[in-house]
Amino acid sequence: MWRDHLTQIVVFTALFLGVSALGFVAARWRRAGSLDHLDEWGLGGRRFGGWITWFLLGGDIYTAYTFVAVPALLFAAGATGFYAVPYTVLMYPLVMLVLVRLWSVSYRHGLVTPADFVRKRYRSRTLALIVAITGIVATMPYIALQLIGIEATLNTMGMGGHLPILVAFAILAAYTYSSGLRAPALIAFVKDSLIYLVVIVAVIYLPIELGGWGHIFGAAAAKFEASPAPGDGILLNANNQLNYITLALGSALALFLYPHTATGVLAARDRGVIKRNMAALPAYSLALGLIALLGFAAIAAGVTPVMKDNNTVVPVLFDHLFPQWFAGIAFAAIGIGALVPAAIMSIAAANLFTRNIWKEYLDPGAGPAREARVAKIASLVVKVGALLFVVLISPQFSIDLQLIGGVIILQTLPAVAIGLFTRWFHRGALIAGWAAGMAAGLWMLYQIPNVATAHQHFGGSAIALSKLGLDSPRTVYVGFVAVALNLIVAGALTPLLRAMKVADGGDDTSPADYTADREVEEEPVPVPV
Amino acid sequence: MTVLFNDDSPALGGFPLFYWLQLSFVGLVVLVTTSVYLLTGRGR
Repeated sequence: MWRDHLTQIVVFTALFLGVSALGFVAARWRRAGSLDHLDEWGLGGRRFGGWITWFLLGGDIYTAYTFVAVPALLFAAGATGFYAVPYTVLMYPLVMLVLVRLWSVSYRHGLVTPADFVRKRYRSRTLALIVAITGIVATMPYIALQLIGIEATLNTMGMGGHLPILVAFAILAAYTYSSGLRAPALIAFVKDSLIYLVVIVAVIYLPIELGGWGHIFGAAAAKFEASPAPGDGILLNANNQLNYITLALGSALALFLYPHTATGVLAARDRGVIKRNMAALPAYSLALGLIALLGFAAIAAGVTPVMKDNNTVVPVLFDHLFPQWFAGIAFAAIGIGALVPAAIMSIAAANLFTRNIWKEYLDPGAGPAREARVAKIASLVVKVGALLFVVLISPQFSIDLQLIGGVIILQTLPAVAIGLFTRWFHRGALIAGWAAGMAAGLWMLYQIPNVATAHQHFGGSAIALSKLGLDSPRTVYVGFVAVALNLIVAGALTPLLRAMKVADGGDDTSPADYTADREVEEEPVPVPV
Repeated sequence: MTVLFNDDSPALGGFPLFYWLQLSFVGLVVLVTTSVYLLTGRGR
């Protein structure tokens, strides 16, 4: 069966190996100091300029999962899947406001992770530990999803089984270990060039093949018309509009709380780089929106997913309509597109583990060199964990885990994002709010059945208001409700704890830290933490 | 919010309103972030 795809496999393998070589070379690229320092390995020396940051953040935010699963969602459910566009649009003003402040305070104090910031801001080891663990747990299924993206293309090429994915992952693990954040930064150039090439060709070529966009939307409408499922269609219906809005907003809030987004932002050289990027990055959203519509193109082309896995619709569409060699390039774009974020995510999780668990609780005497060594090993462990997810658990289940990941990472919003603006919340109240939001979020997710796969629980992230005791068939995004509860609890307990004179740590940052910028031509001074 | 543009027409080049309008929001956000960047001063 794979023999039919020989040209594709040759092109895919050649590009994949080329990129891997690049990953190892990256260790020497633009290096100022030794890689035996966490700032160098885990943040690329905090020296990335505008272009590199653009590619790095683009590779970070627009993952293979977005390029595979979003069209798959449009293919299966219609308009609901388009939430990805308003979601990535809403995100940029938020990032501009919030993460620029995180960059400044981290630069001033030599912080590497969001949990480092919480530690500094609230003088609370416990709160920092909670933020770190939340980040690591939420990131793991996200990495697993990148692997599923690679697996979908491999399956389409007829390479089933787990061996190809194991090999791809071993290579990824090896160059992340040796080159740190520089590897995905360099590879992101190749990845995005390929993705843009494929998008432009696909958006022009496919509608011509399929009889124009009008025909594509018509075919999609006809399919949803004929299907018995209540929630689909090329437009939203009365019941899922609230979910659409809250999901877009909630996902935007969740995305910039993910540790890998912070890693990408902290690696920037100065505030101007980040702000310029917030103006330039939405170009990816346009690409994302057009790729999302490929889900409808797949309907018009009459695509049947391989092995009943909807994630394969876009690869199968390319396989059917593109010449063999170009389909190979498109598959490589998706595959490499998965490697970049997987590498950044594992680095971000490794940074969290090293700084906020290992150094804080197990080995307080660790210097920068030992930190870097621990982080390298942690990045391997994280990847093995993600790989186990993919090999042992069915793909459908890991997508559900990703939904859970979004809901739980949102619970760090008060401590991290709001904490960047005000120190008003009491640290004890934040811990209580986190616990309440987390419990409520998980409880609600547990209540959601998945009709398609006949799972009783964890079947999605849209909960019917009727389950919450309201008499309405409308649905809403779980993360949104959970974080609202989180804020209410934290907000109510803060004055209470203050009145009871419970100790509230203090604050090791000053207001000026949040607007600090790198001086021109100043050499970075490592600040001991 | 979605109630306002959850519609087929007016279509633009075969794209129902729901789709082309949200894609055009991307352009809108570029305008907003760019002007913030320019107004707050380069590199600040």
